[in-house]
Amino acid sequence: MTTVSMRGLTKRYGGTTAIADLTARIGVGVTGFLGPNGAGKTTLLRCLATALAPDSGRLVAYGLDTAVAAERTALRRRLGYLPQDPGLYPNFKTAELLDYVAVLKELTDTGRRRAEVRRVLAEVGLTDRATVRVRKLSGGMRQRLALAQALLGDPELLILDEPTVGLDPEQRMLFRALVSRLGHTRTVLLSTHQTEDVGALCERVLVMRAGGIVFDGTPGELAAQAEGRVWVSAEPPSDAHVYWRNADGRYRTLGPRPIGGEPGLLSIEDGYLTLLGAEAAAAGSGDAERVS
Amino acid sequence: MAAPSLPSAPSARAFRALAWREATLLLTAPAVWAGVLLQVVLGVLWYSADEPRWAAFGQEAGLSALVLAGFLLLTSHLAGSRDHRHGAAEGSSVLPASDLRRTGAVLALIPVGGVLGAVALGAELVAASPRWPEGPLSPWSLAMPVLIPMLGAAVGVATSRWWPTTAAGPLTFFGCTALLAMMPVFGQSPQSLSWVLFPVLFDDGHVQAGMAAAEAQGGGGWGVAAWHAGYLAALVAAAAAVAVLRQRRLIPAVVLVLAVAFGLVAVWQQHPDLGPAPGAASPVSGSQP
Repeated sequence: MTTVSMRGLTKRYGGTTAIADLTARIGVGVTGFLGPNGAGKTTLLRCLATALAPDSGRLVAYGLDTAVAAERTALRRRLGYLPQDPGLYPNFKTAELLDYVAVLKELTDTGRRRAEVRRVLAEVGLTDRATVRVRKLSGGMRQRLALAQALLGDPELLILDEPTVGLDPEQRMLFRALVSRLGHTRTVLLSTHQTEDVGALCERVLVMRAGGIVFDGTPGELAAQAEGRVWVSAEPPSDAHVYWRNADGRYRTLGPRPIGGEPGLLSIEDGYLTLLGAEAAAAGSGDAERVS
Repeated sequence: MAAPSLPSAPSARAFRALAWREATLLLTAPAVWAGVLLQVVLGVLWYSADEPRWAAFGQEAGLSALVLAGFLLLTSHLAGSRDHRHGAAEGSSVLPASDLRRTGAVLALIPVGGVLGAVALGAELVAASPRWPEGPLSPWSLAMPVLIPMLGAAVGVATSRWWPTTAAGPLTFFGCTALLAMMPVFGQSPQSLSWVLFPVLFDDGHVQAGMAAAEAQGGGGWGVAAWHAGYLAALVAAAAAVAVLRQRRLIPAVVLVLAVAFGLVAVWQQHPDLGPAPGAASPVSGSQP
C-alpha cells in the first residue's frame, strides 16, 4: 500500500537544483536512501518531513497534501523526524526534554505524556539517564535521545536522516532491532551512508545522484549491479575502480577481472559503487589503496 | 492511501499545555528567583534610607523591580530563542505546534513576570511593616512593581522572536539599561518627557500633589499613578504585539497601534497632573533615575 507519493518534485537553492523532477511511491516498511554527498537525500527528506517546501511538484503522505496548510499540520501529527543535525537543549534533563517535545506534539494529557516519555526512553535504552542533563550525555546517547524524540507519539511516518551517526556497534544493533520492528507497520524512510544498515533493514533502496533517483530496487538487486565486477586475486589489478588488500593478504577488486582473479561475494557497497561509477568510488574510497 | 486520522488535541488545550510548560520552566529557573531576591533586598535597602511614605515606598519598589525586569528580559529571551540557539529549529518546524502557538506560549511568561513582581512586592511590604508607610496612597502606584517585570518579560519575548541569536538578549538588556540611564540627561524635572517616560514613578512633590488630588476626588480620578500604570500596560501590550507580528500581521498591528495611541494619551495625561505642587520648589526627593 502506498503511503507516500511524490510527483515531479523539484527543489532549487538559487542556481543549484537539489532535487529534480522526482517521482516515486513509497509504502509501509523501511526504505533506504543512498547517495553521495550532495545527491539530494537530505533535501528530499526535508521536503517529506515538511521542513522544506518544494518549488514544484506534489507530495502526498497518508492522503495529506503537504502544499495545503491544514493537511500539512495533520501530517505533522503523524510524523516523526530525526534531522541530520538534531538540536537538543543542553540544559534540559533527558526526560524533561522529551516531555517538552511531547507537549509540542500535542500530547496534552499529563499521564499519557509521561507514559510515552518512559516508553521512548526504554525503546532507545536511556531509561537510566532520564534525570541526566543533555549536555552530560555522550554523542551516541544524544543521538539515541534525538531518535527518542522522533518516536514520541508513535508516528506512522518516520523519517530518519543519518540516524546511526555516532552510535557504537551495540547501539547500532539495538537501533536496527527497533527500526526493523517499526517497519512492520509503519513507513520508515532512512537516509544513510552505512550500506550495512541498508542491507540489514531495508526492503527497498533508492539510490540518488544529482537530485535524481538512479536506482530503485531491493538491496539484493543493488548488490547484483556489481555482478561480474567483484574479484579476489593474489596480485593487485592494473585497472579497477577500487581495490584493497584484505586481511588474508589477497586483493579485493571492483572492476575488470585482474589476472588470476576469482569471483568475490557481492555486497551492497559494490553495487552502489558500480552504479555510481568513479564519482562514488572517489567519494567512498577512504579505505581503498587506489582509485582510478 | 489515506489512513484514518489520529485524534488531534484541540488547539486551545495544546496551547494551554505549552504555555503552562513554558511558565513552569521559567518558574524553576534559579536565575529568576535570584532576580526576585535581589529586587527584594535592594527595595528594602533603599526604602530603609527614605522617609516612611507611600510615595517613597512605591518609588523604591519600582526601581528595584527594574532589576527583576532585567533578569526576566534575559530569561524570557533565552526561552523564546531556545530552538534557534541550539540548532533545533529544523526539528521543531515539523512539529504540530505552529510558530504562532509557540509565540503565544512564551507570551505566557509576561503574566508570570507579573506574579513574580507581585511576590517581590509582597515581600517588600512585609519587610516594610516595622516602618509602615504613611501619607496618600494610590493603589495604582503599587501596580508599577508588578507591571515593570512584565515589561521586561515582554521585551525579552519580542526580541527573541525577531532576533533569536544568543547575543541578542544581553545586547537588548544593555541597550535598555543605557536608555534608562540616559533618560535623566534629557531632563531632570518632572515636566520633562523623559521623566514621564521612565518606567518608575518618582517620589516628587508633583506626583504627591497628583496623588493627593486623585484622593481628594474620592479616589475616583485616574491621577498620575493610574496614568503611569496605563502607560506601562500599553508598553507591555505593544511589546507583546511586536512579538506576534512575526507570525501574524493584522491583529497584532491593530493592537500595536492601539497600545501606542493609549500610551501617548497616558503620557500626555501625566503632564497636566504634574503641574507645580504647592511649595514644591525642588521637584525631586529620593532617588533619581
